[in-house]
Amino acid sequence: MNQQRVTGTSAVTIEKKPFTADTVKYWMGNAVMYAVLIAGAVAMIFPVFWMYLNSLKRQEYAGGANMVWFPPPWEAKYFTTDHYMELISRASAKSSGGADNFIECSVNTVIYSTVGTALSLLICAMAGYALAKKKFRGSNVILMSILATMMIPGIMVLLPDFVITNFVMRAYDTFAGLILPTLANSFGVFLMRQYMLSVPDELIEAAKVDGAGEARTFFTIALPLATPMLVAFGILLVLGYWNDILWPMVMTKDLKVLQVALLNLTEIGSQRMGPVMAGAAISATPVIVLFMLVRKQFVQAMTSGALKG
Amino acid sequence: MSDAQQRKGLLTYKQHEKLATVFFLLPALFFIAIFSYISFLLTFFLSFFKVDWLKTFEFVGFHNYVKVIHYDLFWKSLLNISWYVVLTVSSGLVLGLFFAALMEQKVKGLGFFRVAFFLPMVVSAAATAWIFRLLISKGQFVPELVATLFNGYQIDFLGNPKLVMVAIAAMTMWGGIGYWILIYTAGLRSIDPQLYESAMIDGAGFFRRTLYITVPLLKPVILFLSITGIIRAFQLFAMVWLMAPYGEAAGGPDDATQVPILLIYNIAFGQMDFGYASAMAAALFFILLILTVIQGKLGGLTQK
Repeated sequence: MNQQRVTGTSAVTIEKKPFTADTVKYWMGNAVMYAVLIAGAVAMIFPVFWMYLNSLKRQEYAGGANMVWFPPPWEAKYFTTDHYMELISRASAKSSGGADNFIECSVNTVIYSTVGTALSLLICAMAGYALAKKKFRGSNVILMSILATMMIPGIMVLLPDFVITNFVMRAYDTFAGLILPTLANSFGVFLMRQYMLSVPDELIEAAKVDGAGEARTFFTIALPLATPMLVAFGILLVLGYWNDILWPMVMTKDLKVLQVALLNLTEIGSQRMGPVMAGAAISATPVIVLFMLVRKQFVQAMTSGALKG
Repeated sequence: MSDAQQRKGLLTYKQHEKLATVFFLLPALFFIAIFSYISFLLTFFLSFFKVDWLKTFEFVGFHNYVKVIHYDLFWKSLLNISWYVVLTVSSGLVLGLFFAALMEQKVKGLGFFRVAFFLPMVVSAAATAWIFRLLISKGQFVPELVATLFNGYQIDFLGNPKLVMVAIAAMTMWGGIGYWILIYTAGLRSIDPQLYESAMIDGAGFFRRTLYITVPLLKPVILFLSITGIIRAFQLFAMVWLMAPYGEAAGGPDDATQVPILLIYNIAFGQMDFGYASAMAAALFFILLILTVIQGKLGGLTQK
C-alpha cells in the first residue's frame, strides 16, 4: 500500500507538463496578475514615499525651474532636516504670536491616545464582563440599549457633547473635556461582552472559592483571559484617537493635537510644502511603525470590527 | 449551606454580587447615557431654538427646519456628498473585490502586497489630504505626468470644480481600499473552494468565476460594505478642509466641496447658531436612516 503511494506520486512529478497553448495562457495570466498587483502596490506606497522625500528635500529643489524630482539619496546638497526643525522649534501656541509646536502637539496626541485607549478598554471590559458573566434581570435590555447607540452617527452628538463638556462640565480646552465624551464606546462594550462569553465559568467560580473578591476575580482572571481582544480593540482605539480630528478641533484651543495642527498649516502650505510634509510625517510615522509591528492583529481587529453589521 | 446565608461584611453574598455588577456596569452606562442618549435627545431639543452665541435661547418651533429646507447650500452639499458617495462606494466595491480576489489566487510575496495595500489605512485624513495636495498641485507630480503622457495637456485638479471631488474620492480610496479588500477577503474565505474547482474544470477564467460565483455568494458582504461605505462617506470633513484654495474658506472652488459636516461646523462654530446647526444634523440623521432602511430592504429583496 505504502509502496504503491510512493510510486504513484513520483510518477506524477516525473511526468513533464507538455508545452501547450494552455501553459502559455497560464503564464500570461500570471504575468498580468503580477503586473496589476505590483502597479497597485506602487500606487499605494508612492504617496508615503513622496511625503518623506519632500519633507527632506530642500526648498529650492521642490518646485519651479530647479525642480529635482528624484534626487539621488547620496547627494547631501538636495536634503535638509530644516523643515522638521522649523516645526519642533516653534514657540508654543500658548505664547502670544506663537504657533503649534509639534513636540507639544505630539505629547498632547500621545496623552489623548493612550489615556483614552486605556480608560476606554477598562470601561468596556468591565461592562462586557458584567453583561457576559453576571446573571441579572434586564441584562438583555441593557445590552440592547447599548447596541442601539451604534446607529447614532457622530455628527448627531457632536454639538450637544460640546455643550455638555463646555457649559455643564466647564472643561473646554482640557484633557478631561477631550477624553470623557469619547469613552462612551458601545461597540467596545459589545466586542468585550462577546469575548468574555468564552471565559469559562469554572475559572471564575474557582477564584471565588479561593476567596478572591469581585474586583480581584475580574482583574486576575477575566481581564488576562481577554488579552487578545484587548489588544485587537486597543489597536483600533489607538488609531482612532491618534487620527481623530473633528472633536479635538472643536474642543480645544491651546491643547492642540497633531491632526488639528496639520489643518492649521495652510498658511505655510501656500508657500512651501516641505514643512507641511514634515508635519504629515511626524503625525504618520508613529502609526506606520505601529502598523508594521502589529499588522497581523491589526488585520484581525479590522475584520472583527466588521462583525457589528 | 446556601450562598444567601453566608455573609461578607454587612451584605449577603447575593447582595454583594449585585453591587459588584452595578459597579462594573456603571461607568459605561454613565458615559453612554450622557454622551450618546442625552446628547442625541439634546440635538432635537436644540433644533427647536434659536441659539445666539450659546447665550440666548429663543423657542422657534420648526423654524430651523424650514430654514434648512430653504437653504440652497444644504441641498448643494447633499448633491456634492452624493457624488462623492457614488464615486467612493462604487470604486470600493469594484476595486476592493478585484484586488481581494487577486490576492486570494496563489500569489508569491502576498505579505508584501498586503502591507502595501493595508498601510495607507493608518494614515490620517489630514496627512493624506496634504500628501495628495502636493501631488496634484500645478507643476507637481501628477499634472506633470499627465502633461508628459498626453501631449502637454494641462490638468488642474484643485481649481476645477468638476475635478476636485474626483480627486478627493481618489485620495479617500487610497486610504480606504485596504478596508474593502480586508472585508471582501473575509467573505471570500467563507466560500467553499470546491465551487471554484468545479468552475475551473468547466474552463471558467478568473473574471467569469468572480462574476458568476463570487459576487452572488458575497451579497451580504456587498450590502454591509455599501451601507457602512455611505455612512463613512458622509463623515467627509478634513479632506475638503485641506482642498480649499489657499486663503479662502473651505468648500470651494465654486462650492464644489461643500459637504454637510462642513456646513454644520461653520454654522455652529462660525455663526454660533447651535439651533440651526442641530436642525441640520437632525435632518442629516433622518436622511442617513432612510438610506440605510432602503438599502436593507433592497438587499433583502435581491436575496430572495
